[in-house]
Amino acid sequence: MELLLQLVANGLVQGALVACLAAGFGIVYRSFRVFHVAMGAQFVVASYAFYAAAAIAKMPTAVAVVVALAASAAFAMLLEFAMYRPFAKRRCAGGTTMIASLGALIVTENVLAITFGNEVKTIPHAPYGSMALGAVRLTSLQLWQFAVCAALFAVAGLVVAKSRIGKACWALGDEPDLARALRLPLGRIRATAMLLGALLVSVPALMVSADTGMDPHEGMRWLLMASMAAFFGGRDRYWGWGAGALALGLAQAAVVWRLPSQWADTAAFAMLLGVLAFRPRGLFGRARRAEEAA
Amino acid sequence: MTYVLHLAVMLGLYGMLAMSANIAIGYGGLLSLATATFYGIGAYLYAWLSVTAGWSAAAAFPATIAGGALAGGVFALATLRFRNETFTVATMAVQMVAFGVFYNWTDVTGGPYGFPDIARPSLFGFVFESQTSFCAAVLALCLASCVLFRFFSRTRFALALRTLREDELAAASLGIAPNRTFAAALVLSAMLAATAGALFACYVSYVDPTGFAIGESVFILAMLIVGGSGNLKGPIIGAAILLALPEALRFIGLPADVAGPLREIIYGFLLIVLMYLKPKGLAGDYAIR
Repeated sequence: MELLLQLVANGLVQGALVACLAAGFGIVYRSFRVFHVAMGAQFVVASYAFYAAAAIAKMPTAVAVVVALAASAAFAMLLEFAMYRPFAKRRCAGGTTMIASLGALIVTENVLAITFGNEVKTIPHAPYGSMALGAVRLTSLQLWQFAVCAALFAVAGLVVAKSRIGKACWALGDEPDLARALRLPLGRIRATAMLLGALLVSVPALMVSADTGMDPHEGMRWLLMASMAAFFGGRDRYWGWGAGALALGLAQAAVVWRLPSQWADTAAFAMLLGVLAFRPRGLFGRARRAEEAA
Repeated sequence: MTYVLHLAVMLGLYGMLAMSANIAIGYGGLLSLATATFYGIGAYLYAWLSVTAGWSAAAAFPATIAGGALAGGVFALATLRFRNETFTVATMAVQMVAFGVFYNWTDVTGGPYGFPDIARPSLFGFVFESQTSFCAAVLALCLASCVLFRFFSRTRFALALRTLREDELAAASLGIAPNRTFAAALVLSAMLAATAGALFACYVSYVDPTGFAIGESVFILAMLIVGGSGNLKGPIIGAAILLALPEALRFIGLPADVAGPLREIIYGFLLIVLMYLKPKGLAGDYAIR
């Protein structure tokens, strides 16, 4: 029982991290109608910028975080101006842009591999203290991960739901031509979606890399977690993405309860896929017209 | 000479893998990232049948292909509920699950330590032991696949598949059953990939899970993108180009730890540039949507 409680707590922390990633993936996906594979690149760029600032340049942590977020924002703008915007101007199909985005992920992770090496890099840090909440023990970093990611996910959700620019992002995804006809500031909307996406990906990236380190090829795994969570929750529903992430985190915890921990990812993905097969629209997905059915 | 033969074997194997992906992606328009799953299933199943179960090659090969077909059928059941991006995510998830099984099911696959001591196949008493004879066998099988593929591409089935790719609703209204046709395509594709996997297992005599990760699926997809899909020549050209690339880098004399990532950087850039300028690839008939 105590083990189960502990695993549920770990699952909640993992769920909060993945919720941010799913939102970072989903906002770009929802606004551009592009499968944002380069989200994985965004993740590793933030991690390695943090590593370069904190471990190589020996900056204080707070400064290193700012540097990493700035680098991540610059990378998001590079993706937008060098790839996504030209593809959108040319009205390239979604699959075409997705493969270009996959190309960007491959290029990025290998540039990082050449620069920093293929092996796992960790940022040296003092051991994190741990806190007991009843039978559950969490490290201080885990508490931070949960609090910061849950808060960021909630705030970004409010921005998306309430602000003018957030609604404009959704409108762009629904009717790109109408958005153009209405003279909405497309450039600004697109840049906002990319930057908000970059922030939502980078914050969990930094917190994960501070904990377990990083390797240049981990982007694909996080992309899969984020996209799986987003599609599981319902691909057009912001709060659904959070629910999908929570389901993924708890499924991983449930697996570890009964099986050796190396099966966590494998079995959790299989479980989610199994549920999704019976509900292809995702938990909170809405029905669509036949010609745009998923 | 051994080097040339090695390249020829690789071209034969990847030609088959690219053809396998071409059936699902180029003809069906189903953007799958799970080709390496069936490649791996073929390799491990053949290894297990021939080493652990002690079957002869003449029995293990057909059984492996049948196993690939079965896996393809299960795969179709699990993923054909989805289309477009959701299908791609589902195939990525299947690929991740398959890799997890290859890596963690140590009792059967050897896990990270790999599966050693797979013998070269023998047929009617002749052992394909020498590099030359094995290379000839692989190339013959690849050629046979090309001929079969040519035959396949002219059948009603391939036409139905291409119609579905262009407009599923319209095709369904003409009486083409989408899921049944797609499932048949995925099964066919899985059989071809499993055959390549079995050949790979006896070629290198040792299989480990890293060769069947999602990166391998992406690599095979890249062959289709570069060469083009939806016909026979595109994937073969793509396979030849992407296999020649590292060899060219090696001749320039780059150290291995730079040449590996550099090769990937080049093909990553190729994907971006080709998608922008030439979405049908160099010799393809179909632009991925």
